[in-house]
Amino acid sequence: MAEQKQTVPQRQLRGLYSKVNISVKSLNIIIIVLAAALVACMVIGVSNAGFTVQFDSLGGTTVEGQKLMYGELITAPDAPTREGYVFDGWYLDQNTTRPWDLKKDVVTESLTLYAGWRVP
Amino acid sequence: MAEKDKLKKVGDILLNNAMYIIIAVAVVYIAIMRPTFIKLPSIVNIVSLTAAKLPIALGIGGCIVLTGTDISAGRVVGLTACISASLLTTVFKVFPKMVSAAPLPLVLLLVIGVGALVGFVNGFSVAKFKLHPFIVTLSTQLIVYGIILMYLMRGVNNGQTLSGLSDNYRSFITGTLFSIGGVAVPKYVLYSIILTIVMWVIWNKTTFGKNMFAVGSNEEAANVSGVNVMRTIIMVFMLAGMMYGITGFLDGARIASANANTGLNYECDAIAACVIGGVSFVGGIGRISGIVVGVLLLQIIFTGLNFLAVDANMLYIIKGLIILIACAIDMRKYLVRK
Repeated sequence: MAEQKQTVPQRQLRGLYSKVNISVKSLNIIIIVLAAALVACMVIGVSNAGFTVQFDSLGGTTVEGQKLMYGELITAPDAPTREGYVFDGWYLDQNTTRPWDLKKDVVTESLTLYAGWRVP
Repeated sequence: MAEKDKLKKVGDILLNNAMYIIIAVAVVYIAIMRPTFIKLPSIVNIVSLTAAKLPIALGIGGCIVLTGTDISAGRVVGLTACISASLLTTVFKVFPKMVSAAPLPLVLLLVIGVGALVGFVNGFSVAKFKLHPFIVTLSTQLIVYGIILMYLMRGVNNGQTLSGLSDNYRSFITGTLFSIGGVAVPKYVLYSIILTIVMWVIWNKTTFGKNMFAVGSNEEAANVSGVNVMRTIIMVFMLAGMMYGITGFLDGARIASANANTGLNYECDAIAACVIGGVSFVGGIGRISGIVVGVLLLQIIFTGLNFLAVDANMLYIIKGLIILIACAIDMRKYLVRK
């Protein structure tokens, strides 16, 4: 009975898989291995959790980055200084059009904040 | 023997549903670790994001049914988002001579037209010259990207992000449809539902839909039985293009800005969602409901991982693995089916 089963030719894959020649048994192994890899990646991801917030002072003094969890507020860093300019807050873009409110805006992804400078 | 058969059956079920099991376990874990994940605001957020990514997946689904793919999708979304954002704005940087925002319906028609045009180029090349969709859509992807960059350099914009969108554009897309428990559901959810219904009718109730599945499962046979294969392929790609156009139109307002990176990698998510949802690369197999489930599942897992603050870099690896597993399960299902 078992032998008879094996002699039945396997269905040929079509379409984008038409060149694939693989047995169900190997596919089972592949699925299990990949599933294990997926779970491993999720576990690694979760154990290294945290979004990095970087501060680009755009020519001012360096500001240390921070690591935060989802939904947390950024702890206000010491304001950077730059000769000839006055610091006026952090922005999401280099053109300083979208300000970041340290008291209200929460972190939902890794991001870089740019310093806003104005001429005194 | 019976015992062995039973074991085999359980194994079959476990393997064929491996992805759903992993996602279900992950969701339970996330819900325990971060209870806000299953609170109303988060659920509405997931539904909204699903709605935003649904049209592009519905479009790409048709291309996959034809045993093809479309990797120009994301860039078309980017281009149409930039066009929408440049015309429906209050600061006319791309067209400095304009004084007021263009009418909404006109822009919507324009972006659908742009999407359809790119789709036509894709479909025509695939159908007429028998080129593989991968190579055709790869080149249109690059061409469209070039056009986006040049478009953003127009006028006084100088390649910058387009923002300052007009209020009626934003409220038309992100305005409140209705509120449940104080959480606003944006209007684009409704548009997405309408598009899903339209696509369901096209796929299941029209001759064109039936022809699409016929061409997808066996082009030769479809040709012999009198299906206009060339027209069907072109129309599938054009329909997909229109969907990208609509996605771009929605995305501009949803994100409230558009730049050269808008739409980047959207096609990866859409293709992954389709494969998870059972639209098979074997061709001629797929259902609209499957695509909806696929997009929703991907959104749930990635929103959840975001809640756990998993780094975006790792998410790419996870996404890649999910596509591989989905393909392996897809092949397995086809091979063991009697």
